[in-house]
Amino acid sequence: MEQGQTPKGGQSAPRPEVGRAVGAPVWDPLVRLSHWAVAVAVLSNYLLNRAGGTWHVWIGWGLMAVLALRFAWGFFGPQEARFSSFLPNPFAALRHIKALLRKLGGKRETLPEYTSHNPAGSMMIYALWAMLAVVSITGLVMTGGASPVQMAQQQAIVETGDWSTLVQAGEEVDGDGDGAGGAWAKEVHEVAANLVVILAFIHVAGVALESRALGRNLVRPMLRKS
Amino acid sequence: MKKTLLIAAMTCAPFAAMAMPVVGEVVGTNAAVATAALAAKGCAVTAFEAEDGSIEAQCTDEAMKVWEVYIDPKTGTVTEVKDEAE
Repeated sequence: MEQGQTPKGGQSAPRPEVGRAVGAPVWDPLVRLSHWAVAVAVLSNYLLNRAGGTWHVWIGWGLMAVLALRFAWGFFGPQEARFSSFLPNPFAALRHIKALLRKLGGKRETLPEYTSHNPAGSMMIYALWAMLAVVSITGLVMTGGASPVQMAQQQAIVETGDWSTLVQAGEEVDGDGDGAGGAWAKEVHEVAANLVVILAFIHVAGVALESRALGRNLVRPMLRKS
Repeated sequence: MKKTLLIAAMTCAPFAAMAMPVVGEVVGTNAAVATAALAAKGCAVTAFEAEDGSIEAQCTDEAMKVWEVYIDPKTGTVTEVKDEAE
């Protein structure tokens, strides 16, 4: 039986299976906070602050911390937050999207509900996490792994101090990696960042369509517990 | 003759004022000196950044075109001048 599917009649079902419908998902505070923290970090680093600037690096490191916490939560958190509750399944995702479109097209279709992410949402989450991981790793490559504090100190010298001290101190005047070594990282960083934003738009559109099909606002449980 | 020279000078004056810094030119090893040197060359600095062993000065010329001027932090020498849009 496919992950998350309701057992058919005649089969024993000692308890509701993880993933499939016993009501609307209830997200714990860490899932909700990490979701919005990632959204704010992506928007601010993509649209608001200067690429390679101190704020950009601080937010990037904050994003990495949030992702690390969320990944740990995927193993140790409550059931609906665990990876085992929303394993990636492209075929189930396609079936879900087809059912969703049929329902939105006016066909009589019963959309299953899930206590965790639905299969399409699950694929989107893994895609977003993968792209965010690429953005984070290439960001580290571009900055030579310098911490936000080191980056801020270096920028302060660049803006007000004697630049030759950067060289005398043996520090690598690094920045955002435009040189031969960092050029590939910058390209990949930018492409992955664009993909994150495109995926985020698709995610928002998917949530809107699913909410309409289910007749229930799916954003609300991501904002508050009930 | 004087008239010809005057016309030539007036025609060339705006371009002379917009002469950009060139590779090999020394503009200084701190932001204040480099800002003044680049301004004297017709490029108003908007930001300095560290970038792969160089200091990158972003500056805008009189035609509002944005340039990236790369400076060796040790010697203050311009190593590269790039059109920001490229």
